[in-house]
This record gives sequence, C-alpha cells and structure tokens, in this order.
Amino acid sequence: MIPFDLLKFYNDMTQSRILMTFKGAISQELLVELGALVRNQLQHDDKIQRIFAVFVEMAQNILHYSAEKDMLQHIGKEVGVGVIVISEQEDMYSICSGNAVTKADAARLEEQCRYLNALSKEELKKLYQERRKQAPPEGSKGAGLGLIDMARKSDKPFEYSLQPLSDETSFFILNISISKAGR
Amino acid sequence: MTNLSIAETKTTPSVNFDAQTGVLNITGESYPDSAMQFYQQVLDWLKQFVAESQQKIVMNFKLSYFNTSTSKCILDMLSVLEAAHANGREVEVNWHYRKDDEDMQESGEEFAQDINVPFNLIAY
Repeated sequence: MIPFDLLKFYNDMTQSRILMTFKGAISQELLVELGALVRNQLQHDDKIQRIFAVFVEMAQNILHYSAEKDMLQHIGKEVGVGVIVISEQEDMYSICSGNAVTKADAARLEEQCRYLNALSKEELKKLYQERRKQAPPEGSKGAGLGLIDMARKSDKPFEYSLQPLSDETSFFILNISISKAGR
Repeated sequence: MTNLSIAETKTTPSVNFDAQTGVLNITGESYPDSAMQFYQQVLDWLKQFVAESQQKIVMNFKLSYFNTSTSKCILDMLSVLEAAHANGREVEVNWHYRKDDEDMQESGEEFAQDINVPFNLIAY
C-alpha cells in the first residue's frame, strides 16, 4: 500500500511553489549538499548569494540548537532535526525554517525576534557590528549573530511563530523574505 | 617561523600565510561547522607572527561567502592586526570582493569601520 497521499503532497508543493525542502537531521555534510542544490536551482538568479546565506544560517541553527536531536551513527555525531522550505511568490522568495526549541530558548527567541523586528536596517547594522565585538553569548556555538544577519537580509519584517509542542518544547518558525527585484 | 598553509575545502577557505614575505592570503568560502575551531590555528599563527617578527603584514581576504560565525573570527584576526598596527607595525588589509556583490562590499566596509588599520576595498 502507498503509505500516504503523495498526490496531495505533490499538489500542495506545486501550489505553494516550493523550490526546495528538507525535513530531518541536518549534519554539516548534508547542509553542504543541500546548499549545492539550492545554488543549482537558483544559479541564474541575482539573489542567490543572499538566499544561500540565509539558508546556511537557518540550517546551522537547526544543526546546533534544535531541541530535537538525532544521533547519526555513520558520522558518530548528534545533530539537530528540523525543516527548511524555500518557496517562491510573485515578487518574493521565502526561506522558512522550523524546529523544536526548549521553553527557555523559546522565551529568549520571542523577545529577540520582537526586538529585532522593530529595528530599522541602520539600527540592525549597528547592532550587528556592536554584537560582533563582544564575546559570544553563553551557550552559543557561533557568534549569536545569525538572527541579526537574517533580519538585515530580509526585504520586509521577518515573520516568526512559536507554538507549544510539549511541556518542555515549542516549535519555532522563522520566515525570511527576499524580494526578486532590486537590491 | 614556518609558513601556514591550509588547503581549501567546500566550507573552509585556503589559508596561505608566508612568514618570509608577510603576505597572508585567505581565499574561498567559509561556513564550517565550527568557525572558531577552524580559525583558532590561524589566529595562533598570526599572534606568533606578530610577536616574533618585524615584517610588514599584508593580509588579503578574497572570500565569496562567509557565515556569521566566520565574521566574528575575521574580526578577531583583524583585531590582532589592529593591535600590532597601534604598536607601530606596518599593516595593510586588502578586501577583495566581486564587483556585483554588494553584500560582500558592505561587509568589507563594515570591517573597515570597526578596525583602525589601512584597509583597501578592491573590486574584481
């Protein structure tokens, strides 16, 4: 028996104009392969550099910070699980990620997202430069700069949502829009 | 002092630091799993080079893409150069960017604002 409604899945993907999607454990190796796929599909587009940059920040956030982990035996590493969808609208590309986060991270993310979304591009640039000079926040494996960078690249205020998954976790969705026209 | 030479991979740039000429090249793309881990050896070499020689330092960045955690590591390297420059060392940074890549140009401009060393932005 065919295990699920593939035609519906196909039609949904067509209707949402999905260019690339992946759900699962994201290792660094897989990220590289998916990144190559993204570049391949959008190689003739002016915005490919920016879309690729947002994709890498999202994928590395899932890899490092998703509260849902998977042990990959073949590389002997535990990596984060999540979903990334790149889709196309009339005048925009949308790069959207979703993953489980702890309740503590959810509260911090909500506050950070609300704060960043209220800032102008100039204020975001200033914050990015200030934050880069400081020591990374506790628990950060990168520089704590990813979300600010994505907010800077988004051509309209980014969208986010946090929905309860369990007593311990919430599902964090982040959507970045890159306009097709202009710079 | 021996040269530092690291071959390019899909997610890390080639690093060629020549202790004789003082020319330090970082070329490629940078989005490793852990940027801090990758750049530690680069930073260690740079600090030692600053301490052990009097040679003029010319650092060439030619990156087509880097992620945000690499950005932090680049600033750390530039900070070492800034301190050396403040102590009288001759230092020059060349930031090469593809002429149609405004994001990479802007990144260079922002580093130039943050760090007080002679800093050239060069389109190719």
